[in-house]
Amino acid sequence: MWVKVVLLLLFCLMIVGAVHFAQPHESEEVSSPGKVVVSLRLLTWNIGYAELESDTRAHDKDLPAIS
Amino acid sequence: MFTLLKLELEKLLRARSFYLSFIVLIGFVALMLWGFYTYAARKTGGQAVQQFEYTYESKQYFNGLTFALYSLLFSFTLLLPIFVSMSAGSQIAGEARTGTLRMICTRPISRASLILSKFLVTAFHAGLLLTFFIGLNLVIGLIFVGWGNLELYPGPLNLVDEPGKIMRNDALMRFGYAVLSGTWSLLVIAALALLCSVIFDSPIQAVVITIAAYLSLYIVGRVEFFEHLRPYFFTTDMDFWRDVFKPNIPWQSLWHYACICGAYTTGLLLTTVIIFERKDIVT
Repeated sequence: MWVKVVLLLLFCLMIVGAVHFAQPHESEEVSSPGKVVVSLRLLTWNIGYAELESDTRAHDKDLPAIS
Repeated sequence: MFTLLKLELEKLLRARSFYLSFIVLIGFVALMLWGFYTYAARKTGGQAVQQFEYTYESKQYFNGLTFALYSLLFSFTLLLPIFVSMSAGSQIAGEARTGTLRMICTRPISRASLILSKFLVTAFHAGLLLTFFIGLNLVIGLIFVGWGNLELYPGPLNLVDEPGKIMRNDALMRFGYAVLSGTWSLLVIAALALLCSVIFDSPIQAVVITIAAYLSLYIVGRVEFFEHLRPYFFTTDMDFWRDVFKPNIPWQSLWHYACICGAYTTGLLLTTVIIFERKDIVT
């Protein structure tokens, strides 16, 4: 009987350990998942255009610098 | 319990398969060495057979530690599970085949203790196999290839994403860690084989079914189409032992997968004990 009890305890301990050491999911890492965070992605071609606009494509005049 | 362990250990040491497993491992290391020699000879046109390092762009890359790492990673996937399943699969089914199981069960010992002692002896065998194999690879590597730091590059081993280096003394310690993590990982196979050994009366059946289950999950887990199934296979969790060779050991992930493997092992052992206690032994 004691073998079964020890094995059961070890089994539970392993499950608890696995949950304890599990890596947090990406969704849990964000503090408020519902909130839309607007951030500026600083790219090679938008230096000097630090505006929170959705269109961050390269401007025509920047083409020589990135090609 | 100690008497039981002593008896099981004596049985293990008297079995020919115990020594056969070590002989096969020696043969594997010899084959690896031969393979690397012929590779070096082919790459350099027979000019630098004695010095493997000239085969590679980085002269420090290939040394005894690299040899040991390659040998260990290649053998761990396919070779060591076979011996562990052979050892565990013949524990109960082997007794049933030789007709000694009924006699053993008439002794004043609990069936659960019998299973536990047989599992502990199998775990000892697995640990001894891995210790011997790693030690042999390091000694052979030292004698025939020489020492150096362990340099890791992204490649066929699929170990790191970017180049890294482990200093010699640290690398030797990592091989020590690999004995522990590898043995822990192999215990899942041992527990599965012991369960099959209780269910089936033939040791061959128990070993073949264990290896078939292991290989099926391992192969399916490697196919890219079934990537979403990988987290559900114990073979995926067993791979955690390799993490000790990463330049920075991901301890949290390592403990997580070690616990999952532990849960598999103890869960399978518990199932084995429950089934064996209710089993009507007719052989």
